[in-house]
Amino acid sequence: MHWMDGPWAAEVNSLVAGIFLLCSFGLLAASQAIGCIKIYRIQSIFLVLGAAIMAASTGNSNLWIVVAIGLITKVLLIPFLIRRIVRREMIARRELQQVRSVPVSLLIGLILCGVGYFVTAPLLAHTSTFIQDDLPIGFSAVLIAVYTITVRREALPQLLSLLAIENGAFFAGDAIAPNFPLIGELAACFDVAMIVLVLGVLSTQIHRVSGSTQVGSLSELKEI
Amino acid sequence: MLIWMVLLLPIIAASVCEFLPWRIAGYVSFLFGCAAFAVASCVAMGLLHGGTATAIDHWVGADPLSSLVLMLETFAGAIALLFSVGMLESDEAPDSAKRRYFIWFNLFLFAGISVLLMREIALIWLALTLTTLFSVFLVSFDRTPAALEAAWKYAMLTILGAAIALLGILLLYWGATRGGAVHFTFSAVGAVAADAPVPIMSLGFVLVLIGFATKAALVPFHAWLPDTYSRAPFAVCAMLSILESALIPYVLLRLHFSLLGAHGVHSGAWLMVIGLVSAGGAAFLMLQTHEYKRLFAYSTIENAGIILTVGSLSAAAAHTAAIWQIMTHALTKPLVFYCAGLVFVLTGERRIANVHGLFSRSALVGGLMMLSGVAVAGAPPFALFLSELGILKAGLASHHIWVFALLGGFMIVSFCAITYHLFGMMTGAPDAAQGVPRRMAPASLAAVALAAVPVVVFGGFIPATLQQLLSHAAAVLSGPHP
Repeated sequence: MHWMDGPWAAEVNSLVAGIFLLCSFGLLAASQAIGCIKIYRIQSIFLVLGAAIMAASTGNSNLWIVVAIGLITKVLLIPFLIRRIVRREMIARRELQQVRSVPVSLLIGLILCGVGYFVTAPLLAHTSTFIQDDLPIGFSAVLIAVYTITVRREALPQLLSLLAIENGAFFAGDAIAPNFPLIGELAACFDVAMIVLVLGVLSTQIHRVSGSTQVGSLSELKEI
Repeated sequence: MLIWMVLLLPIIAASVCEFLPWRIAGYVSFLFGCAAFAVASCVAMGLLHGGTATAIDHWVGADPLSSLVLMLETFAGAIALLFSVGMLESDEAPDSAKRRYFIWFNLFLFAGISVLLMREIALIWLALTLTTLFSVFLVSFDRTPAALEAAWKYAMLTILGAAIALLGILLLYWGATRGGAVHFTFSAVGAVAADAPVPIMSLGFVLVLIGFATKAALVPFHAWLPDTYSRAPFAVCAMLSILESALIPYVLLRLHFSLLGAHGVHSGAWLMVIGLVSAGGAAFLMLQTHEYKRLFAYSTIENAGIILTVGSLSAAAAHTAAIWQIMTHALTKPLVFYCAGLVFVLTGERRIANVHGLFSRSALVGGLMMLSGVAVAGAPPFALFLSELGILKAGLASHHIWVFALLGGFMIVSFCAITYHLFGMMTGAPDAAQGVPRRMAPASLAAVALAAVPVVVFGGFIPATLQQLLSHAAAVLSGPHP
């Protein structure tokens, strides 16, 4: 018997999964860059929390290391790196532009959620309650984050959406592949940190050359 | 031991570059690249009779197929480094930027080599992601707004693809462990594929396919391709081409063959569809493009499509043809980009319509461009002609006549597109406004000469040892459990 066995572990996990998904919608709708960073951090916290509940419930020691890795990189290191690299003007308080209006985007996000549940439904037969909660939600979070990249015009929210895809994949991954080789897990975190470094420096260069980070309005390069 | 050496050489080269003036850093990198190619050849020679070379069981190792592609990657990498030295001679970038260029280039090479030498699928995924991250600053080397824009699109879309592929790989891992797999290599997945749940493997494969197709810019996921190739340095274009038409097809084909036992996943059908769409879409995009770099970029995608289509078929002859095509294309395409680089140095123009009378401006550059252009279009007597002939021959012997009829049609369209555009660049009166032609750097010309050797030689005959390696490489795919 583990110290956190029983049905309520699954219920707490459902709550965590719900808040995790809510954060995806938050990233889609947030109107300020600083808000995006905060929401990403909250999402990462709930990603780690979900893994911790599963670790406590199943007694899987592998998952505890995943929790530790996630806590150090996604909750602490990444937000720190972003604030260090990205220029202050880019996080300054101002409204971010979106290609579509926020209510329309939220509606599309809701539809994508439905798609996520529909696509993963055939996979859920004979699985644990953790997987039944986390796989559809992780998958939906990936879809919403992909959509978020397409509607955001600025570098920083695009970067954070990219990281949110990774979060979604690992929210599903912690449930379906708790014994995923740790080196893979470490590799993915290393990869996320590299993404932040490279894209952070690149967006700073873009800012220096063109005076803004409206990457959505970069359209000099076109066929014809 | 040899495998560790191939992996370590580019890392050592990258760290040495930090302390050298850029020109010496370039030549040293070139020497390290040659050493990597020599070691890769030794690895391949050890695998001439099949089998595997293992560094860490289930984690790091090589087999005939990966060692063949490894030779291509290291050969192209070494020559690309030499060509870069020549091209940077006439570049106004500060010396520190040029030095960093070689550091990133070596790291990019390291990531490409890792893709081939990793056995664990999760590590292959990481290596592919690193190829993007290490090449972003190579694409943005010019630091102009256009180059930065191209780099941003490139990074955004290919990392997006990698992130989607990550979810697919987690699903494949889940399916494989439910089938009873302990390790997560292609052969381990192949061994349990029959027992793995089909819906999980299907969704996993489709997500990996979408992700890596975005990384390889297969049609319809090619949004980043024209801009990136338009602005990236020519040597980087050459290496990106190898990545898209050799490394990623290598990964996708191996994944497909490890899932053959899972009835109901239909990975072959998926590959064939995306391959045909890419080959056809790219062939027609080649007709309407306005820049010669983009022309050759689309030609890379067309070839990646051909390789995936042919490789997805079940006949053993088709596998040999696909691997042969990987080889000849990976040898020919860099040469074309180097010749295009010479054209750019000569004229300073990217657009096809603004380049006239290349022959009368410089018979050398014009001649090289024309010859390498028809070589990549698939004309005799060059290497690509023989492999395309091999594909059509495999097609006549198979049950998929309509697939090969389509592929043959696309090859003809692309041949017409390349010769039509090149003809326009060769003929006419040279533009007086384009000024005095600049001197060609000896390093660039040497790189072109080196790159041309296999293209010409393998158009005439294939050495017996190479033939042996090719057939064992094809057997890796055709074998019962690759």
